[in-house]
Amino acid sequence: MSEITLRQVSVDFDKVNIINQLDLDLQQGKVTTIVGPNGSGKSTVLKTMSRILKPTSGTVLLDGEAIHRMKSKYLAKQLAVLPQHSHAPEHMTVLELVWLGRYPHQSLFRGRCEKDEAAVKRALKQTDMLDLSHARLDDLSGGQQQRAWIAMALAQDTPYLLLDEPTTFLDMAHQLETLELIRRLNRQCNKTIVMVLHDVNLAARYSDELILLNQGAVMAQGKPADVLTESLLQDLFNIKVRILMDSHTGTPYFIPYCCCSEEV
Amino acid sequence: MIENTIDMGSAVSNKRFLLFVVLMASGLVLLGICMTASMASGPIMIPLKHAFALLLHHDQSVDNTILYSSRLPRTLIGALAGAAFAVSGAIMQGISRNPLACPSLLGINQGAALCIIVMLLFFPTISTALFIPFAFMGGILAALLIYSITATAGLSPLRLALAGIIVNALFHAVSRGLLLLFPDEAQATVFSIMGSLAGRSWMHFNMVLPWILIGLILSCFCYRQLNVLCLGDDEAQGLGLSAQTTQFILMGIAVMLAAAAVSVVGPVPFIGLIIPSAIRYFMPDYKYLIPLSMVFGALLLVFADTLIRLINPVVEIPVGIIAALLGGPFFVIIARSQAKGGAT
Repeated sequence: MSEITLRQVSVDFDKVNIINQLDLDLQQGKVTTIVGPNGSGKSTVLKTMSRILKPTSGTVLLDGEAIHRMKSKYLAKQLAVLPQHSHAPEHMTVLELVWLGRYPHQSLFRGRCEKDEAAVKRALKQTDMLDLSHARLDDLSGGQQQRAWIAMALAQDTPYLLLDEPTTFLDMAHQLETLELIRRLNRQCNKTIVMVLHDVNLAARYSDELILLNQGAVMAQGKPADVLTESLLQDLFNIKVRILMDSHTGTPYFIPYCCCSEEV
Repeated sequence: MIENTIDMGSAVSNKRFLLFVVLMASGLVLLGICMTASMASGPIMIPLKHAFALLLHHDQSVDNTILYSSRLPRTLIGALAGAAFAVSGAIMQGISRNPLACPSLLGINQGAALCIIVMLLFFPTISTALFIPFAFMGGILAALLIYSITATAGLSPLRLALAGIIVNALFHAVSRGLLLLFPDEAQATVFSIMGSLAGRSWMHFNMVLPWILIGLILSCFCYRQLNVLCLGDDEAQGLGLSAQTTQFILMGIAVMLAAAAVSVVGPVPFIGLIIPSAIRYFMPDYKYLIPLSMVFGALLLVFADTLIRLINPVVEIPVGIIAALLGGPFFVIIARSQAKGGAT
């Protein structure tokens, strides 16, 4: 069953065409990761899915409904999105940030209620941020800040969660911690996850599906073990690689050897 | 375990709320004291006790006449304008996510002032009811200029401040030029270049009251949108807030507040910078930030206006100069803390 669908989507940015007539089907209940070289349009695809960018043509469907015809708050109750390196205002606490995730559920005449409070608590618990809920974001480590932002998106209480490079600027331990959390949210809380990652090996390890993107077009889509091939990675990143199987996790990983251009 | 931490969570918001109540109460008390002092101060000093008594009961004294005909409207206008400047700054800082944004640094005040000067010089007979709409147009013009300068380059604090300086200088130069070309008529417009409360009357109060009141009430209802916008455009979009439309509407409210204030007291600088930035340190939540900005903005302008009448009651220093003296160092502090934050 396919739940996020892109049909003939083209996106221009500053009059430069980034994506041209892209068709894409993403499955519900999976962790899908978009990978590709710089400038391949990974973030653009994610932003278009979450309506931050408006496609010049084509439609994005969420559960069969065109997202550009939805009310903003309605969409925000279906789909939460964390853009790349967000900055919280100075002096804001974790709790205050997470409460903002309830914005789409509130209105001028409907203030905070028990349901909101329960969602905020649940989000803090799921991200293991309860003990830090009163801490100021400026005082937290990068990994903790990322968890706070994820908690905000969780408070939105949506079936879909989109993340744009959630591991950038994090060290190895925090990268793993964040991806473990994301996978847990998928497995335990039944969230459909779509994310953009830079690191193909990490993507292969934590995703059910990979989408390999190049110049705004899908080169391959499927299970990591199926789509990651030496020739494809050579085409995509212009590097010579060797693909191995990690017996511990059962996922493929590759070792980059050299740039193709250097060899010549 | 969860139950405990829930309590901790609400304890924190309770702490903020308590701080809000304390700040609000002390702000209101100080404002009351300052307003009484403002009504007592001037070329003819009214004893504080008598000023206070007069507010409760009229009597036949000269003090009564002075207080009700000039000091009271002046004080009330000062409080309204101060609140308007501070809230306008709070909104602008929120929508631009820029701690240096405020109506004076963005040139909004100067734009509004220029339109007032044009009106006073060329259409001296025109109805005062058109003052504020005219000033509003000037403010919007300045906002559009800022937007067109920064639209392509992005809204970094430094760029915004630089664009503000350009727009400010432009409007200021035109204002000055006009005053030099028409020296005879210029006397009536001097407040609109320096910022002053001298000679403000009930007529001005009635003119400005509805605009500022509406602006302040509207801004109190927008705290959720402002809180969300503070996260970033994309983040706001993700939370179901159409960032551009909201920014546009909020900027309209902010410009209206600043323009209304400028049309009665002139372009008093920095109140919109100092007050919200200082309060934000304790209260980043706009739910509390807006009401507190109102009270402390009013307090600062009334205080500065009282101060100048105590320094020299006969020849008044324009209140804008006092505000600039207070605001200059503050600007440096914010800019420095920004530079530090940017480096990490």
